Amino acid sequence: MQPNVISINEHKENSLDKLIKDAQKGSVSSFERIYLLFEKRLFALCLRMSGNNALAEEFLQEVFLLIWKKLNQFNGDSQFSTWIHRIAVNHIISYFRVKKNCDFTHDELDTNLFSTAFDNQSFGRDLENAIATLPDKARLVFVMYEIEGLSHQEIAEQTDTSVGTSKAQLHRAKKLLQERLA
Amino acid sequence: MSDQQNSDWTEMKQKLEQLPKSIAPKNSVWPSIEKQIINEQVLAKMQSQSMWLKWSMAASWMIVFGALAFSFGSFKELKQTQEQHAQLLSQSFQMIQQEQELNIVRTQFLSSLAQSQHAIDAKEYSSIINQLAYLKMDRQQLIAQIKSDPNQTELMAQFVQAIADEQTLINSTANKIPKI
Repeated sequence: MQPNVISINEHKENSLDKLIKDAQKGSVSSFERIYLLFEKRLFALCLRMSGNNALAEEFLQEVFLLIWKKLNQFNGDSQFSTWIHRIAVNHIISYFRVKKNCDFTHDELDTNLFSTAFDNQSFGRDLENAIATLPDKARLVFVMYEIEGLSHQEIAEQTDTSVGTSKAQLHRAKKLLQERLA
Repeated sequence: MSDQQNSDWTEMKQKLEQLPKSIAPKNSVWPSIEKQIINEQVLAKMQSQSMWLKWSMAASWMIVFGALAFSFGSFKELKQTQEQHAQLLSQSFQMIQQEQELNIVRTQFLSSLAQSQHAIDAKEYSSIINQLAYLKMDRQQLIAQIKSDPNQTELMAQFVQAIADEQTLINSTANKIPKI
C-alpha cells in the first residue's frame, strides 16, 4: 500500500501549496486552515521555549501574524513547515534577547502546564515541567538542541552567541534537569 | 560527565524523544489573529483609498493649474494679436490719410500743370508727367506689398518716404510753373 501513502502525502502537499497560494492572495479562510494544520506543532515549540502557557499563547498569536505578514516572501525554496518554524524560533529568541536583563523566572511552577499533552505519563509531564523551570538561556538552547534538533552552530547564529556559549548553556541545562528529576 | 551521569542522560534522551511533538493550546488564539488580520486588511484598504484620493486630488490640481497656465498663455497671445491688429489698423488708417492728402495736392497740381502746359517746354512737361507716373506706380506697388505683409516696418518707412518724395517733386515743380 506504499503507493497510496505517497499519493496521500502528495495530495497533502498539493493542498497545502494551494492553501498557501490562496492565503498569499489574501484569503483569510485559507490561512485559518494553515493555522489549524500547524497550530499544535508551533504551540509545542512556543510552550517549551517560553516555559509559560500565557506567554506561549501570546507567542503563537504573534508568530502567526508574522507568518501572515511575511507570507508573500515564501517562494517554496524550503519546506513551509521549516520556514514557519524558523520564523517562530527567531521571534521567540528576539523576545528573550530584548529581555536579556530580565531572566524569566518561575516563582510558582504551573503543574498543569503540560496537562493537555499527557494523560498518565507522569515522567513526561515532570520532564516538561523541569524544562519549563530552567533559566531562559539554558532552556532555549536545550529545547532547540535536544527537542528541535538544531546544531550548536545554528543555535549560535540564531541567538547571536558563540558555539561555546551554546554548548555551555546546554551542559548547564542538562545538569539542572538531572538535579531536578533526581 | 561521569559514567552514571551519561547513563542517566541516555535514559533521559530516550524520554525526550517520546515527548509529544504537538500540544494543543488551552485557548484558541485564532479569533484574535483573524481579528487583527481583518483590521489590517481594512486599514490597508483605507490607506490605499486615501492614497488614491491624494493622487486624484493632486492630478485635479495639476489639471486646474495646467488649464490656468494655458488660459493665461492664450490670453497673452490674444492680447498681443489684438495689439498688433490695433497697430496695423492705425497704420493703414495713417496710410489712407497720407495718400488722400497727397492725392488732393496731386490732383490740384496736375490741374494747374494742364492749364500751364502751353507755357512749359514739351519735353519738360512730358518728363514731369512721367516722373509723377513712376512715383505713383512705386507708391501703389508699396501699398500692395504692405497689404500682403503688414508687419514689415521697412515697407512702411519706404511708403512714408515715397509720399514725401512725391510731395517734394510736386512742390518743387509747382514753383517752376508760371502762374496763370
